[in-house]
Amino acid sequence: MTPRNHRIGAIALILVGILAVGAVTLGTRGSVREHVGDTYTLVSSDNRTRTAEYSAKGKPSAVAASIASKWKPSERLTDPSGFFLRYRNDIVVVTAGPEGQGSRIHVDDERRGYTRWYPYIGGYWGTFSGPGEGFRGGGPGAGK
Amino acid sequence: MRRIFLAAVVIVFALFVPARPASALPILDPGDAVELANTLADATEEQDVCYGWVVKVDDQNGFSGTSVDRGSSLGPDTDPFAPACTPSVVFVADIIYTSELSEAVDTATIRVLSTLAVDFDANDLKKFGVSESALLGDNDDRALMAAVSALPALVAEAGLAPPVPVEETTGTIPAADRPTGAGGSDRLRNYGALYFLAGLVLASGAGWLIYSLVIASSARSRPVRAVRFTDLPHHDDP
Repeated sequence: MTPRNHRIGAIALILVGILAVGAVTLGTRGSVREHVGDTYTLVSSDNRTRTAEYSAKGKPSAVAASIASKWKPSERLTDPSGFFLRYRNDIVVVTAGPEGQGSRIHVDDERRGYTRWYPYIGGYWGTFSGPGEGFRGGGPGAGK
Repeated sequence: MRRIFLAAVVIVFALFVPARPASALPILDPGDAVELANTLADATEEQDVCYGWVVKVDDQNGFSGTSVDRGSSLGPDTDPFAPACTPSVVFVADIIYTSELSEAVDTATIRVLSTLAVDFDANDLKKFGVSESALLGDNDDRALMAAVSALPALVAEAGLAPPVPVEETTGTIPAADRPTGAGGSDRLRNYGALYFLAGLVLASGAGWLIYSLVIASSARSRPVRAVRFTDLPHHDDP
């Protein structure tokens, strides 16, 4: 192979690489928040606080597993009350629906979600300096 | 002679007295066990079902021995099979850490024992992200807490008891408390392999381009060297 052919092959491979990076970037757009919004039925939302609540017909464990398989969380926590999934900017919580029918999916941004679900995730996913009001949890090794 | 005897005693002592405690360490530290028992007690209040866990750890490394980790809605280190804990749903696991000298791999088996009308099995727990391998990992305590915490949800989803209601923070949390360590980009976590492959193609192309420039450069320099005067064969005039 001549040097010229080497150069042509290399430039072609670089172009393929650039196209591949572009395709991956475009093909994987979105977030867990968008996925939940596209997949489940909106019950209520508040743009100011970036909080949204959705309903699903499936059982909480199945819904949580489905969300986690589509967008793998960085951390997850299981509690008798529900399933807590942590993402870079969002916290998704799946609980039983009203009257035990179906599921409710709560989506909050990270900061608000940490405050809202502090009784469960306080000390696990952030700092913990003592029981807040309505305290229930405490994080690993905290005990009661 | 006395010195030799003492040395022999020291060697025997060092060989046969374990460096670690005489029994395998429990998976949950006392604080976590209390936390878990309290969580189960809350669920029991809602569902009238007693929950518990029994985890046997057989550590075959050295003289670590066997430990039993247990507890229930009635408290840490209580017997979940006691009459006071009925009706009950209990997470049971047997973990064997094989000797480092053995070729056998560590194993964990899990099951759910219930006195309710419905039988559960390990597969029922899989959908909650509970697995045998998780109990053999570094975060075995978290895996155990997740497995046991899933029991009330398992019962509720089977329609045997109402779900445990979720409680939001009713007031404020300490001002200094905030989330930490979010775990990096969601996109890279989910599609990192694709990005890696695409990057690999790109890097390979760049490497190949550099290589082609090097061989082109050396090819250009070769003819110049061929015509150098000093490289020409020297013949004396006849």
